Amino acid sequence: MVEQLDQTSELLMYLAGELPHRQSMALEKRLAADSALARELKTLRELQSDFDAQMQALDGKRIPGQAMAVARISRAMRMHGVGQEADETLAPRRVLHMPAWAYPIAAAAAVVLVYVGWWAHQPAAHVTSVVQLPVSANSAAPVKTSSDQEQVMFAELAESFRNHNPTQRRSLDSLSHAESELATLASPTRESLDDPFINSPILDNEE
Amino acid sequence: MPVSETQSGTPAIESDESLMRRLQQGDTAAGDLLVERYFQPLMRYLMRLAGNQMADELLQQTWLSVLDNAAKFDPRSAGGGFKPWLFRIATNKVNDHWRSRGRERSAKEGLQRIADDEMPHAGFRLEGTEQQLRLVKAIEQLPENQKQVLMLRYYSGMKFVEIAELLGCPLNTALGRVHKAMIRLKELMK
Repeated sequence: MVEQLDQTSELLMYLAGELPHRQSMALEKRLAADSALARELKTLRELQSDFDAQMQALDGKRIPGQAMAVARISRAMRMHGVGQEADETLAPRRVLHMPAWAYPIAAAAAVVLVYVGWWAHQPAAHVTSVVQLPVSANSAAPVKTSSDQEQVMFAELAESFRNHNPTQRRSLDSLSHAESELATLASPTRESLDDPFINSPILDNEE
Repeated sequence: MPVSETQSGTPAIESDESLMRRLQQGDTAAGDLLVERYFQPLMRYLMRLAGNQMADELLQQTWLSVLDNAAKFDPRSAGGGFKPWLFRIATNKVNDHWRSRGRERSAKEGLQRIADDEMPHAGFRLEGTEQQLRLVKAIEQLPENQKQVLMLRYYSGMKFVEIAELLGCPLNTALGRVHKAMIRLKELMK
């Protein structure tokens, strides 16, 4: 059962053969009794048949290039299908994306690694000389240590500090005092000089 | 196989629904057959609604959409089988095109002019006689909603009830548009 139709719509449905049987029967009775309604049906039928005839004439020629167009669409459909399959194949890999917070941590780790690498490749001599300077400068029984050149540099640095300001001079005096104490503690005794463990290359490397 | 033998020995064309089932199972050859089978009516429908140049692109979009939605196709609930379902998709594509054309009309027209030379049937005119050219121009002058109902009815063979459902309008409205469109065409053709 179709919805309530106006008269023209009902006639069009009747012409199309889409009116339910009961409504068709009722309309036919009305058509038989109403000449105006019958004329309207005739007008609509002519309108419909004119339109159909014109469209059939219009579509008389086939559209050229069908084979090419069909081939192109078929190719597009295959590529579309292949693309979807590829997406599905790649889908599990997307799970491996790193979370956002991992990027800054990775960057920080990279910086630390670079610094450690740089530090590890620095010559060990300066570390040794800082520790050994007081030993060579203050020890009563000086051990033969590293460069005199560094001692000169230290002396020059100390002189420049003394000439700068009192605060720095006090700091330098404190530093010298601490160095003296350190040198006393680090000063090798005769026994230790004879100790092969202390003079071993392994100890030098560790310093 | 697109054609099978009946008991009487005469060849029987494989139904659209059967081809769709094959397409659902991944048989792309079945899709090719459907594209070929519906090329003429679907292309004409799209040409009447969207113009010769845009029809080509919309046709491809329609079939890609068929492929995307193949799994959802159910002949028992598709309102009359494959053909109405196909034209339903094509109509949605045309509506999308009309909407986008409203927003970026000038850009689209520019692209269409560029594409003119690249189309396989560029410059082809289906309409030979003066009468046919007048009819094409008259159809172009119809309001889009009237033109859509009229062309959908003519090329898809869908029932008026299905057309009204597809377009989301009352049956009276759909029928009224068809009536007005035919009267308007008759006036324009005088």
